[in-house]
Amino acid sequence: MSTRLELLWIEKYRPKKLDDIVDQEEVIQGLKNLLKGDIKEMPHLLFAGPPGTGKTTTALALAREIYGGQWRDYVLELNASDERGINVIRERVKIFAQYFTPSEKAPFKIVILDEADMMTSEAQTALRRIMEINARVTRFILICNYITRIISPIQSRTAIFRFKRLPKEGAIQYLKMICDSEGVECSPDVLDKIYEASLGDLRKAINLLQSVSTVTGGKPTVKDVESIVGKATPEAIVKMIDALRMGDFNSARNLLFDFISVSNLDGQEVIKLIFNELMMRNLLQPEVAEVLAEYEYRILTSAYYEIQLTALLAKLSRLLGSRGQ
Amino acid sequence: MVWTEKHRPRSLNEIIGNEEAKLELVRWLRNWEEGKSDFPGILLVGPPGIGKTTAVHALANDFSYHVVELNASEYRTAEKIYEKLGSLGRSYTLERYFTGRERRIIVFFDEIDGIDPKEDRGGLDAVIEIAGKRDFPVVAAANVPDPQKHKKLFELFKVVEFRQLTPKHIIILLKRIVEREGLKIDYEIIKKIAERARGDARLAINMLQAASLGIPVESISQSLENLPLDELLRRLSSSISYYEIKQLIDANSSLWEDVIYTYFDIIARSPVLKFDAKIQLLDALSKIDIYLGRMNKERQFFYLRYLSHLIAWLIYNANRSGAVYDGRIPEYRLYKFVFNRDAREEFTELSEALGRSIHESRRKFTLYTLPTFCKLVKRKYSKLCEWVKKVYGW
Repeated sequence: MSTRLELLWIEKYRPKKLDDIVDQEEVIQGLKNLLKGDIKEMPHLLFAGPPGTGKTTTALALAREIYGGQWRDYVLELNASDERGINVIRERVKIFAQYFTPSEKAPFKIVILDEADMMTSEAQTALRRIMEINARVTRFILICNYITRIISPIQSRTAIFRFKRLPKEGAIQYLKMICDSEGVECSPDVLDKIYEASLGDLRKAINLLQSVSTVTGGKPTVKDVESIVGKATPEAIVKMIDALRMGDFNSARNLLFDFISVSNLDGQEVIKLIFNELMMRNLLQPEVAEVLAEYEYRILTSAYYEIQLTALLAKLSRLLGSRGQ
Repeated sequence: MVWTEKHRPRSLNEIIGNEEAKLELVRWLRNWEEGKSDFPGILLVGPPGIGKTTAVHALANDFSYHVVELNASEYRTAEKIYEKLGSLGRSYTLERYFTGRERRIIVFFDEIDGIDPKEDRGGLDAVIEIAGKRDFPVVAAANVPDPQKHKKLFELFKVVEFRQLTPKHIIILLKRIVEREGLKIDYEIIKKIAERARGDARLAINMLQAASLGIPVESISQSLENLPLDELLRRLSSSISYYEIKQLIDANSSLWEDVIYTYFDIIARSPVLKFDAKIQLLDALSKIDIYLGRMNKERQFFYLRYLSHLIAWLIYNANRSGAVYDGRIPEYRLYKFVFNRDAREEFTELSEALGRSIHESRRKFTLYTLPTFCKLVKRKYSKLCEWVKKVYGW
């Protein structure tokens, strides 16, 4: 593993063993029972639950538990939101399954497919076929936030494990462990604030803890936490909406271009950010919501999402602009 | 002399094709003269180069009228139109005074679809008013009238449709000219020209004249095809004719995506466009982009025939509202490849370095972890982290 990654606490303090996973006793117990039985009988698994509750971590820990130190040779990690279409997934799984060298630990390899609920139902239907075709030599662990967005033929072919939102106590205990290990002076107030701001999402909480610790040289206060939490929405989006309210379409467009031109963040994500910010500011009149919904739909089949987003900004500028143009 | 002028028919009988339309013209004029016509004016509709203007002049000639032609690209406002007709009135009074002859006049408004009912205040109303007085027969011609914008005209005027000529029509026409000029031109060449002229008699005659000078037909008709992007964009944005735009688009289908993308930028950036027009054009673009996306994703090429039409319409409307190509690189490409190039490259490098060992999607990493990450590696990814600080605010 890259040493640079170890810099990130979410990677550095990612639990390696099933036993170290915070507050998901039922899931962990279920998985352990599964491991106690005949490993050949292991079914496909489906992990569902809110973000930052340990789904990916559990999948990785399970793989370690099965294969031991060489686990990486037997695991293919895919991310539905990164792979371009079901065909890419099919190809990658095919190649991975083809070069099958059995481990003495288990007669199959594992495919971990994260964010499976981001796939369309057509893609999921294709996925189901892929799972069936490769069933002899692979097991799938599908990970999703919303189980209702997984088609029922897949649900019925998998053992479902539901992860629950992390309770405060366990999360804070984990944060405290990190603080001690990194030599960060964290008062209970600060930890409370971090937990509150991250709503039981441990990834968010740890990222927040690390940012605020780095900025303050290891002595964060509640105020420091608040100042970062206040920037939950990227500033570019905040300014963009300010510009739209002034009816200043050109500035809004420049801010948008600046924001999307570096990271290729996808269009739906951008619309979601705009939506959240408008909701927080009580600016979400029905007409505005309609326009957002329409353009999020259009983006699904568009060729250039910057065209769609620009057209959306023009409409929003008319709807939100106090003075109009 | 240009053959399109030299061989322009002087009488309706000489005009090839559009027989029904010619009859309608004559019938209307006779009725008008007898004060029996329900329509104060007549509107000729059809693509360019098929004889609308010629028909008006031939009609006038056949019935001893003089044509006063007001081209809508010059006379767009009510003021200008009345000014022109007023000065006309005076000069005709003088002529009658000196010669004792009264000359009858047809007022002909060409390219009437170039008048915008909103922007050229009163221009269309003036045309309708002048026709309503029934002092002279009023004829208007248009390539692509807008049933909404030009609603009044459609309601009040008799509408006569001129159609594209068939290759057969064009062959007859070309043969006639070949005979008159005493040329020796291969029939195969005439056939080729007729096929390539796309029903446009003017274009066909021009091609024939070029062919008579020994220029190969292929090189004439190909002048539209395979243009470099910049040249294509310049030609598109300097055209006010829908048909010309459509021909350019059809002849350069390999450049559609670039044309769409550039027009997206022109429209979004234009300081001239009224904001409502901008919203409308961007909405039209958004739909074009969807069809393009569906076509590419689903390999459904039936979208092509609609796209060519929609793109041509978009450009036609953009041009008319004053949003034209100025040779600039699209703004978003500037952001991607100039302003944020370094940050972008660093981001790509970082994504590759992190690879799959990060256990979270690029999406989640970009949204939630990147700012934290930048607190730790500011020096190595300085441009990226500068950008992060600006965009995320921390």
